[in-house]
Amino acid sequence: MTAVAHAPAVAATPRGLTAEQAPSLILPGEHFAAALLFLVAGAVGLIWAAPDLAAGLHASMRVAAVTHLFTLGWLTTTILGALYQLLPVALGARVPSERVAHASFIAFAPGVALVVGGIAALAPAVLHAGLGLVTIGIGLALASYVRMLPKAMTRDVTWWALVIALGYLVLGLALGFTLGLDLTRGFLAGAKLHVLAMHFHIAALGFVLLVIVGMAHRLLPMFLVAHGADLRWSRRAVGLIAPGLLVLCAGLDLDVRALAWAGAAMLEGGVACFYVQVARFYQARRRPTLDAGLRHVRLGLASFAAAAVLAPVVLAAGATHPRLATVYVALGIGGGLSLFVVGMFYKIVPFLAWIARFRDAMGRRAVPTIAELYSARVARIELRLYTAAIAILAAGIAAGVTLVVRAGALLFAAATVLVAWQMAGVMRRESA
Amino acid sequence: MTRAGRVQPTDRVSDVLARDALLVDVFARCSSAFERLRNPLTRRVMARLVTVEQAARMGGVTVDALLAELNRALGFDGGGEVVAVVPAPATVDESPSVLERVRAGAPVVELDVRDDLRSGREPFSRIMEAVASLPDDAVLRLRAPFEPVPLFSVMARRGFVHAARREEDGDWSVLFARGAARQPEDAAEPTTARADDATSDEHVLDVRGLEPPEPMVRTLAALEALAPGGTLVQINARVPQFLLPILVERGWAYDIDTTDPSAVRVRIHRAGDIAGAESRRTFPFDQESVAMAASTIVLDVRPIPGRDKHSTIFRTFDALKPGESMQLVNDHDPRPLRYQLTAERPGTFDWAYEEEGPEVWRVRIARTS
Repeated sequence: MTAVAHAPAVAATPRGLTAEQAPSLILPGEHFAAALLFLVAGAVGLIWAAPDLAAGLHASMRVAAVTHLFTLGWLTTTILGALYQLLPVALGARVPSERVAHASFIAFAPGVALVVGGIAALAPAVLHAGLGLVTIGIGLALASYVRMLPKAMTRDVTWWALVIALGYLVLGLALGFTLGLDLTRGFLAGAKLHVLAMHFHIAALGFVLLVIVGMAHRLLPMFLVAHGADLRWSRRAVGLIAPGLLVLCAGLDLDVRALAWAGAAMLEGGVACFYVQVARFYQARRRPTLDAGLRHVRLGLASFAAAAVLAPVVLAAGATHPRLATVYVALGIGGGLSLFVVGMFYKIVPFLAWIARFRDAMGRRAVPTIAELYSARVARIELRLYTAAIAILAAGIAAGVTLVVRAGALLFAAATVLVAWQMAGVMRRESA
Repeated sequence: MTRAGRVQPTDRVSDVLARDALLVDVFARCSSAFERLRNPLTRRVMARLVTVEQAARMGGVTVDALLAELNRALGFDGGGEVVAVVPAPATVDESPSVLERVRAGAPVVELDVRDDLRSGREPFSRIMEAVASLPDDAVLRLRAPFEPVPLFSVMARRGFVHAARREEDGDWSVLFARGAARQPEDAAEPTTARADDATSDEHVLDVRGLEPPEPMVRTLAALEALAPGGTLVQINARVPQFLLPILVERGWAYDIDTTDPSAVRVRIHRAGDIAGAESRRTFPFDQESVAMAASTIVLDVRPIPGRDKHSTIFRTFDALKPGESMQLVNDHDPRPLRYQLTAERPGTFDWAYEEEGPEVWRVRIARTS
């Protein structure tokens, strides 16, 4: 990647890179703060939803509400905020209007709360109001991104992954609307489970996973100091996941098993390519030890890999083994994607806080390291709690034992509270 | 160095210890000077400042021997040579000019950072403050619990020569005095060097092996120590987006060479002079605009003192050829400048606001004739 692909040898101060071009930290900051609250709420919600999880009721209102706290609340809010910070950095495109971006957040965050409340309380009016706000929020965010993306200095795999992911976000939202309307009108009838499966996979894989693949392509080499690694696998991953998801959805929608299996195979291949890419980065790294953020990323990847292994089994079993499908969802969303993003949080939030706090002192006097902004000991404890929580949750759901699921959920909630405490500490502490 | 790779001379001691904390025993076995690494507070400061190569010198052992011991402890074959301990000389690296100045009665400013280091505080800011206030004819006597090898290159770039001595109590005294000599070739930090293609005024800082934000911190520290008129060339694995706005804030100008994607070169020098302004030509990302933008100069006058702003702007404007334009960046509406240009360069420019506050004003000033 070159900042200016065909520019003369000595030339470029790429546009979008002066002091005023970077967005204010308030913009990602407000998204991250809200996302963290949603994560804590989702983690506590796991305790509340434990009986349904143990029964394998993955489409119950409680499970759906908690799932949305993770997907819409934690993952989507984080991604929307992170893109405002990362698009200028990764692609060199500036945020066109911070006012519009703030407006997007102001509509989106309460909208998520209403969606979750509406689902949990089975209150269609509240749900529809929330969906309306979420749509406005995402629409405004997309308006910003759509203006930023064409100005990117290079259209590499990160750019394509983000563009496709945003397309899937719109599709996922449309399916969410369909499911929301179905609550009162019931027009989906027997197709509801298939639409639900499409909605889930489009949101989780089409949007969140593709964003992760795209951003990992840029961020992991930077965080791991892994330069010179073979970069082709990210492209292969996007090339398989993006169409594979459409094929899977077509198979589910048309109820053509062969098509669904073909889509699943493409998705599995894409995920495998992503893992090869990540392995290449880890192998090429110059950084000898993994910090808290990268350990969380590793745990998230392990959990997501377990979900990927389960996926064909779930597809083969269909609706006959609902607890298996619930384990699949818990490992994929709760353990996999969520913890990957927690890991990125550990890298990005302290970095931004550090830059803001020590901007004037850098190079002029000694400043704490970024790692000193949070407690490594607490991070280790919290990571162990997450590891145990995921294993216990999965085992509890698989065995159908509410008590075990609740124990896992409690551990998960405890770990999440520690993450929130750490991040709050990052914002207020001079050094740990 | 990959995780599975051998320890290299340029690895930070902190990175080596991060691989296995028990390696501190290997260090201590090689030299008693490394016993202080057992103190977590000292280790916190010292280990991340010092490379293995520098540590070997500080410990009075050969770097090959220290590397052999460390790599053997990590399980690498061929790492088992017996450590050849070289007793540290009582006096090393003495610059006659420094000692002569002390003998001639030059005032000596004392600075003792031993307590700072022992209590885990990095003393760099205290040292730099002392250096900044040091009279020209004075000598700074620094007391430290170990030979502060990384500091030598920093001071050399500031035009200081030094003489280091291990005292009877085992601690070190280093005398620093301003000298005519510039940085010696072998005094550079591991990631700093004069590149083969660098001019004599250029210092090259290769930060590709560092994790963010270390490249930014190292670069800004190097700029603080950069001699007037000097240029720092940072070699990075990517365009350092977070660094660029800070450079502008601090009054530095830069240009970026992305010809080699694996080694982006950011050439940094003091802004405010015509040469600096001219070299900050802006190339946008969309290729169709490159030609247009190639004739655009960005002149950020915010870091320039008020009394010098207009003269700088006029010099830059006068250097434009007809058809070229400059983008002026200011922290207030430069309306008075427009009046002055109208009065002094009538009919020679076009004025167009591109951004009008509230914090930043950008004006495109095009030379029409």
